[in-house]
Amino acid sequence: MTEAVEFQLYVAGDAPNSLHAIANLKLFCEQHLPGRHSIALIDVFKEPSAALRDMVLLTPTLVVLKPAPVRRIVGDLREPAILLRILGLDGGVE
Amino acid sequence: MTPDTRTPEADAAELSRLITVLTETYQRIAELTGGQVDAVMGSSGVPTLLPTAQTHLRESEAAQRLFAEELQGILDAMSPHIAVLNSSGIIVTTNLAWKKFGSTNGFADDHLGVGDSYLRVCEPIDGTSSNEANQIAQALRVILNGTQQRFVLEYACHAPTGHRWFQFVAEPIMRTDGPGAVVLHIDITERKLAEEKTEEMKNRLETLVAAAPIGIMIHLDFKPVIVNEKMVRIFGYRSVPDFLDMPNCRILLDEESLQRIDDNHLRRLKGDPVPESYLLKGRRQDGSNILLETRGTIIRWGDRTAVAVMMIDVTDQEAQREQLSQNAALLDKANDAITVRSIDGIVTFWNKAAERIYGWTAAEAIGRAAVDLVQADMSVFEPANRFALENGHWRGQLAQRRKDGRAITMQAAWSVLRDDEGNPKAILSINTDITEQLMLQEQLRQAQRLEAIGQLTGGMAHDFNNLLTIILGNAEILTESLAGDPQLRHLAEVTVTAAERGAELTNRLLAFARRQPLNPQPTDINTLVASMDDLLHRTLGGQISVELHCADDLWNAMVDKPQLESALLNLSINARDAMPLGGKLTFTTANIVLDPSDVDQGADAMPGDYVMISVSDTGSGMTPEVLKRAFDPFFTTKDVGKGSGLGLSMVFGFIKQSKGHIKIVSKVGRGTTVKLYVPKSSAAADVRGRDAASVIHGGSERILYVEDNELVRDHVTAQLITLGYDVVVANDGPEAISLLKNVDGFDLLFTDIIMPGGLNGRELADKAKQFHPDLAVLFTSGYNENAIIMDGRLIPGTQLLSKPFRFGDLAQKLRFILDSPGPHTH
Repeated sequence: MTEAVEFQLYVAGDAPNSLHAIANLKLFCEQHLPGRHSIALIDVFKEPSAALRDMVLLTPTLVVLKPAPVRRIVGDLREPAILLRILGLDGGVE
Repeated sequence: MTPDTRTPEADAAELSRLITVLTETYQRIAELTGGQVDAVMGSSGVPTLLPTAQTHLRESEAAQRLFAEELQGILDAMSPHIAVLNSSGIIVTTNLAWKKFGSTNGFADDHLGVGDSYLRVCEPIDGTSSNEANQIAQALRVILNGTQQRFVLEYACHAPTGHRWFQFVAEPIMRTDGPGAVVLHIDITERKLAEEKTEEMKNRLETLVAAAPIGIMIHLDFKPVIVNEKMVRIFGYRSVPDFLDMPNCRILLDEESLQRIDDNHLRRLKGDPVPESYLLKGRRQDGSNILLETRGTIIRWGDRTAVAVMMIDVTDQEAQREQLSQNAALLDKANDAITVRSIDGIVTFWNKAAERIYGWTAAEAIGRAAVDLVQADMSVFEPANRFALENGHWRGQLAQRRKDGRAITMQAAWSVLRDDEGNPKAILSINTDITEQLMLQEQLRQAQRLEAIGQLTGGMAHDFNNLLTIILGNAEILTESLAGDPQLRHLAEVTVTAAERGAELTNRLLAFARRQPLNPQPTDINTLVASMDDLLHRTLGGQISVELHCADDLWNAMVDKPQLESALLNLSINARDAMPLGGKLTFTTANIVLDPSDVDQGADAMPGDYVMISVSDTGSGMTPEVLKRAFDPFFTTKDVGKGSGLGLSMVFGFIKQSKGHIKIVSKVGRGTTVKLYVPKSSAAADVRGRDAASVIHGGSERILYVEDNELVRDHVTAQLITLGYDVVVANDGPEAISLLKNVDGFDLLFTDIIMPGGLNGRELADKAKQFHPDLAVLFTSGYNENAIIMDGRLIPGTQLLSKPFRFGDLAQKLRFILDSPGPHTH
């Protein structure tokens, strides 16, 4: 997979789980997607409408825009295995 | 329901319900998201932060629970029984050991637990508590009143399972509700038992040291700190305190011993080996010297090192040992086998001489049965042993054997050694080896016997020969006179034969008696033996093969040839008779040099150069008994009539007379070897053949015949006249001298050797030569003595006619002398 991965991470200010999610995502990208990812951080307190548009009900929520299809992951991203599976980086056939 | 109808109560109820729903909703969200979300978006898009307090609370609760569990775990893991008391003395917590206390020590399970008052146990209402329980209760009250003071007490507990020891510890703690206490019961039974044991050991050790039969002292840099009674006595001090007053115990030893212990001390510190025990010289308080067997060792003495010394007074033992070793040295110097055996016959002492005589070393002998070692003849040994035990001593001869099996004869002297109560405890045996002495005695006896027989024989033969000369001479005359009467003539002839046979026997006896005339000449023995070959084959018959092993470069021997031939023939006949079924006869010659060391002590063999002729057969051999008497005259193992018993004795006499030696080696079934050693001659051998027998020639010369025996004189005079000689007769030496002085013209003096009248034949001849230096001399004798036979041999140039002689012999001898060129003719 050579396509760049596009993330949107919805967070709630500096709430603890949101901060964990940011840190975990950045660590994941450095390890598994160096140079081929983009992260757009969206604070629901600053941009309430964005959450509504993207049907994000909880923070932190990570929206994987590309590659398609769009998928959402709720939580502080403490387990990289979920991301790897969704991105097809776990060696599986998905 | 409309808002109008709402009552504050209803609103409150709804609010309450909503809050419950809200709370439950939050909780559910948190559960569903694993607590990983912060906010939710309302339908308006406005995010609402989720409350986090609940999570924190839960975490804190969990942490508290964990802490409590950990604490309990720690408590449970500890082996002392632990309980925590609140300020009222009520137990609020116990550990596993506490809970198990009951079952471990046999009490009921509900012994004392959470909620019970600890003080109540210590202070029962009935006042039965022990002293320790009271102390504990008192101390706990102080602690629970807020005094921060630890309390410790050791106490014994008589639990149903046994006597145990505990240490009680009460530690003040501060609780939220006020001062509390942690109570610990630590089982110290093991430690207590170990302590008790140590104490017991210490007591025992002290008792032992005090009662020890050896002196024991511990000193710090020579200042005695501990000493026992024995040590005090050894050095002659009055008491233990008296001894311990001594500032420095070096004064107890002499200089040399101090040097030794200082050396040993240094070696010990360096880790070098030190002798386990050593002898020291000590000084008692009264100044007397003592010998001490000493052992020393370094021990810990608190934070210092001390020296523990053990001493035994061996002054008396040393003196005894010295005495013993001196005695042993003396015993070892003895020539006799000195041994000691216990009453049951086990050897306990064995001196050097016993080692030499018996061949067993002391190490081998000690601990073994004496009778086995010497292979004693039990039929002698047992009665002797019994006699010794009954009478305290025994003396006698014993036949024993050496380790190598050789038989030895012992002159034994036994004494019984007794213990303090007089009971026999051992037998001291002093045995003298008399084997050699007996052998020498036997040899001497044998020689003396042969000598005696020889003298007897010689004396008898002299007279006998005179008789035979007459018989033979007369019988010969008769034979000739009776030519016309064959019957009587035959009788006369038988008489001649018998007389000759008698003469032959007499000659053999003389040979044995070493008194036969010998004419030793340088002789080539190899030639002599080889020349006998024919004769031997004829004599021995076809059943016996003869082998000759002649040595090259054999020396010439100085020996009488005909006699040696006769001796060898004699030996061969003996050999033949020992091999009735045939066999082999071997002659061997060799040059032999007898060193003084080769010559048996006591035997009369002389060192020197010899020619050895050995005659070996493969016959029946001789038993030692027969061998012993082999040289005895008339001793024979042959059937009556088959042997005279003079053969070997004759050979023996001949060889001895020839200054040689004879040796017989024989074993039953293995044959016999006789070795003749005849002296070497440096002169060349005389190879002339023997004189051929010649016809009888008479003569007319004037002969002076001297003979004291009338019968012989008349007989021989008649023979001389028959031969035509001019005979003048004298009865003895003086008469002959006067005839020689007064009558001229004597050509020959024919004289007997042994004569009465103060002048023997030899002396007569010497005197006669003074008047008639050229006078020829012929001696005659039946018994040749020193006058003519020097050392058993004829003086060279001397002529002898042995009695009895035949007429022909006389005629031949006279002509031989008268015809020889010599000083008597001129």
